[in-house]
Amino acid sequence: MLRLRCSLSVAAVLFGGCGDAPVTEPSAGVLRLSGTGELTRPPVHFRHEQHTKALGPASCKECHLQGAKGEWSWTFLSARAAPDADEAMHRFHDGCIGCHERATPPSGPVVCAGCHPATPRLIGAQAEMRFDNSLHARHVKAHPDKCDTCHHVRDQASGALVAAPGQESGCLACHGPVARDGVRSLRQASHDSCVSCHLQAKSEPRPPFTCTGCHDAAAQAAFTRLPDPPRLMRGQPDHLWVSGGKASETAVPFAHAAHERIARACSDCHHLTMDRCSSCHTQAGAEKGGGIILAEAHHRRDATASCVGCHAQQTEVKACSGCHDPSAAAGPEKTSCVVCHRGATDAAALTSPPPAPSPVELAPLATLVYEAEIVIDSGGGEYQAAKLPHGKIITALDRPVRDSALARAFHQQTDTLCAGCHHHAPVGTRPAPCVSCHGVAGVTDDRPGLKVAYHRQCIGCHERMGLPVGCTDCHAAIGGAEVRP
Amino acid sequence: MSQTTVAPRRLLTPFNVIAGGILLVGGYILLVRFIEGLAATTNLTHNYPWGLWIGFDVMSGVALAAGGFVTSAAVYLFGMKEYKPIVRPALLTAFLGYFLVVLGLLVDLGRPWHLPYPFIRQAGPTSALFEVALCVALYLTVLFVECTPAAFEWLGLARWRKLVVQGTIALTVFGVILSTMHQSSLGALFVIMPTKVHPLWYSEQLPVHFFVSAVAAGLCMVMVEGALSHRAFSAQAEISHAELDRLTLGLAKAAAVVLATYTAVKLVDLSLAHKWHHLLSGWGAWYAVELGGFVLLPCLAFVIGYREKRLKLIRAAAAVVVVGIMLNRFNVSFIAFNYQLSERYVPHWMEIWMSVALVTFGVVVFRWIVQRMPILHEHPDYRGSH
Amino acid sequence: MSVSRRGFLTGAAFGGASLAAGRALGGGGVHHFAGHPGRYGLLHDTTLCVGCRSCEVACQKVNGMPQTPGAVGDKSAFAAERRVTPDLLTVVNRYDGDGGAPVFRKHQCMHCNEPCCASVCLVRAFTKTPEGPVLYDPDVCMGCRYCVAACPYNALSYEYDEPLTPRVMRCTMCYDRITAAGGPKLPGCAEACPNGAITFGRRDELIELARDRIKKNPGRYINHIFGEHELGGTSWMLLAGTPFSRLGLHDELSHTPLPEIGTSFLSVVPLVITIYPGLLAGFYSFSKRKERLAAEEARAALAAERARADKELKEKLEAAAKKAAADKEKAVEAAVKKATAAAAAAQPKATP
Repeated sequence: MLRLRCSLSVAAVLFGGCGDAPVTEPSAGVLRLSGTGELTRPPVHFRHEQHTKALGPASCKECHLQGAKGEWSWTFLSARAAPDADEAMHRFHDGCIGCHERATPPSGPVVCAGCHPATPRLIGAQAEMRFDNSLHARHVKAHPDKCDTCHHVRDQASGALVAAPGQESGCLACHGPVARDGVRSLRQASHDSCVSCHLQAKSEPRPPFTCTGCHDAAAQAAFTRLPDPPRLMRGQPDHLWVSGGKASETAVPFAHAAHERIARACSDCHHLTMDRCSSCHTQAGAEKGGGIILAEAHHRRDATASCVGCHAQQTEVKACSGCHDPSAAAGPEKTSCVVCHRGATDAAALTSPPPAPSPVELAPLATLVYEAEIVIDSGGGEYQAAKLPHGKIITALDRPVRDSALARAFHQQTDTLCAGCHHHAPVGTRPAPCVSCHGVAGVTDDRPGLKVAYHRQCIGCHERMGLPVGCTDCHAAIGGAEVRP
Repeated sequence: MSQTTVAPRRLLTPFNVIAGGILLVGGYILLVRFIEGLAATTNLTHNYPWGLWIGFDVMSGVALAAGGFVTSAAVYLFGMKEYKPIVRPALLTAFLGYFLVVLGLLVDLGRPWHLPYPFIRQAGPTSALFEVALCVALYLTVLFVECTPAAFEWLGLARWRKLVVQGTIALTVFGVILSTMHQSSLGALFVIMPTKVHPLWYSEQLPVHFFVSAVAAGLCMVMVEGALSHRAFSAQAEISHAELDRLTLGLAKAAAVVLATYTAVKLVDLSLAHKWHHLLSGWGAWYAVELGGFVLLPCLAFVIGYREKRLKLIRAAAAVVVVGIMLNRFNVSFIAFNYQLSERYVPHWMEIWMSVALVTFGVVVFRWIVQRMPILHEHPDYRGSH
Repeated sequence: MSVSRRGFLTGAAFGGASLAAGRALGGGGVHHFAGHPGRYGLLHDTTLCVGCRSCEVACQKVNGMPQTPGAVGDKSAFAAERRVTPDLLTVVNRYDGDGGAPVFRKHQCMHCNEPCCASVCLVRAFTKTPEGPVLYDPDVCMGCRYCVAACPYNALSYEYDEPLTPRVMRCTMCYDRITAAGGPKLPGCAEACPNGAITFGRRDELIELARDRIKKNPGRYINHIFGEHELGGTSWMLLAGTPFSRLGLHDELSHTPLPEIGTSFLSVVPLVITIYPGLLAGFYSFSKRKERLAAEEARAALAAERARADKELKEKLEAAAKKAAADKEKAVEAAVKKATAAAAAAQPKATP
């Protein structure tokens, strides 16, 4: 019957089709519905937001089931219990088309291509919804001592969800990307909890409860943010030793409390559970840790939850990128190791928490001795020698370092930033002149000659920092005008 | 007969005035070319180093002169004696055609006096152009020798004539070999340019495409040229209108077969190289115009014309094929060339004029020879001889 | 180089047997010539190029050409994509990189490992030197411009305004400088580049160097060295952070050298030369035989007709003769009868 309708109503697609104007921009309110297995038609790009708006918030039950206790199942109608994919498809078809036909006046597509167009005009663009510390704090403040509304554990014996005060963890600890062993997927669990709760608010539904309310980047940006949310206490220490557990290792005294203030959520680092890193990332590499060994979990440059990865990300801003080239594969400088790996004085010291680190203070710039202006003349060429505003550059590079505790911690000294240009020169020593290495170019070691070394150093930095790179931005033309200001 | 019909010595005939005018301006262009260079006379650019003088004078000229080897092979090798009356005009047309190709080249080449260098100084045998040059040089000689009997008859050098006529078969075989090779290697010129010639025209089989289309072009050119010269030089022509019509019908049948073969070759190429989708583009429409309008349509016209004995239709179709072959050579050498660039080449008026002047020159020489030597008729002294 | 490796036309045409023998002995069919070892090359790192056009001016300078005034640092030239011309053997063009950031690519003759220009030249005006550069000899050049048409990189130009001594103009890779006595001097452009975007060196070392740069700066480069394998490889090679297709080059160029495709026709030449004479002679003798048979048939028919006519005539004559004889007999008989009757009538009168 359905097939009949499909074939009979081609004209209806051409002339009727969707009543509403096509959405041209990606929207968080569009869901991509597709069955499992081989599809005979393109997936449906379903305008959930539009349906919610058209039917009103009170009519969720048009499409979704509500249990006896008022709990919602956000899976479409009874498709969840469908024995197979075919049955699920039929339930979708009957549900959608039936409703479209029952509506007065009839609205919405009733033929195949109306919902399954070959090229979708709509694209879903859901932004990941992060329940960060600020949001958490606002919920705690509105519902004090009601942790069990969201947090629960599964009672092994009964299988029931029970509260476990003091053991609260992140959703991801149990709810993975797909449902497994009777545990709902993160997607199901969070929609069941969040949307149901927002709809069941005392007087009337309390936004957000629509797709775009949470999954739209602009909506997220408009959330009220607490400037300094309170710490989420779960018995974690303020300071702890991070080490492989052997006395011979140079352990890292980790300021947990200080990092909590920087992180948006605990899951920034505790990406699954609230346990110690080493509980999954063993030194030998265990399956539960994805085969990633403990050292890697801390040092991976391309990971967001690792120490080095997160620290490196902090340098990916224009102010730092002049010296910290984000495209380089090179890891942190060897001299940075000791910034973290300060080590305990002896094995016994590991048993007690490390002392709170004292913030690094940099000596004022005035303590450094340097030329304010350097004339760089590699001879010949189309332009006059460049006058390098050495002092101005140092001042400009020094400012962001001074403003950031992280930068101060890793720079350690005021003249560390000199290495941004004077690479290879040990901090604290007077750098050797560039010409001592860059007299002539070397092909095998890719070592530039003097003129190239100058240009690459300046231009590379300027490009990354978004500063001018034109010839006359540094040089005056021979017999020509002044350098552009 | 020729002795009795010498044209009156009047210089200011309309033909002479027009031809003289064209040639005079052509001479001026030649001067400009050799004083100010190609830049002043052509619209050639670094991206379009080959223009009308190559696409028309060389590419089309050689293809259209294919009538010479096709008819001489038909008569002398395949024994189709009834076509003998058109062999001499076809050979003369071919000789003049190749002669004009060389003349055109002398204008187009940067250093024309280096023309014999591949043979006397340094040979580049990997070049398709080397094969073209070698074959054209040899074939021009062969054509010259093949044309000499008419001159010997005119000059009364019977012994010389006999010597050449004895070698007819060898010369014809040599001519067919050379023609096959250089007609196809003109296509081979572009095989090295897969990134430049549009895929619809490019093929690694371009040599085959060029050869087959040249045979069709040669046949059609013989028809066109036969009709024109029969009309223009009716006093010289020996065969009757009825006889010419009968020969034209036979040529039309052959041309239809060759054009059908050519279409098949082109379509097989489209399939083998997965190029059908290109037909949907603008270039595809242009390709359809070329293949449909200038190959399939005349092919159909030949079939209808042959069955219904419609000579006018056949001659019109032959003219369309002659234009079509030029279009194809233009497409390969500069229209569908550099299809990825926005820059296009449009010939300078001097390029067009120079090409017209070359053709005019050819017609003048053809006329001069035909009015004197036994081309369109048999010499009374040698009637019926080989 | 391919050109010298490939069979000479006449050799290919008349020495098929020796060619086959050569293959069997030297394994020529599977031999691969990787190019002269230690030959030079240049690497253009587009991520380092700032589009200052110093290379353009330096190129003009070392080639003794008039220099474009004020070219260095002048960005107005990037409004439209330029190509090399006889006055400018190398050009820098601007393309749009990721996020619209400008990317500059220097263009010039790539000095292919297997150059099309050398393959298509019918006077061998181009030579691939063991040092890497492809050199051009204007003294033998005919000015046919096949090389200009065939160059897949559009890197050749021609002096159209020279009426009598036009030359094909292209980058020489500063052959004189890099082969100078006392060690190679940098090519003009490489020497002038302020930002070291052009590196001159041994081609294989440059490939190593390019790989090293990609490895050390994975975020900066596309993992591809343009010119390492393209169309058989080039002396000038490129690194980029943007797909090469957006820098006016082909992204997926075949690794097969174009001369290999372009000279495939050569294999047909010996076939035509060897097969055609026999084939055509065959056709000729067929048509001759047909003619002879027709003539014989005609002769036979004529003979038969003549025989038939002879026979008829003979029969006719015989019949006529018979008739004459019969007539004669009849007449004789009648005369005899008449005479007898007359005699009989006269006899009784005589004997009463």
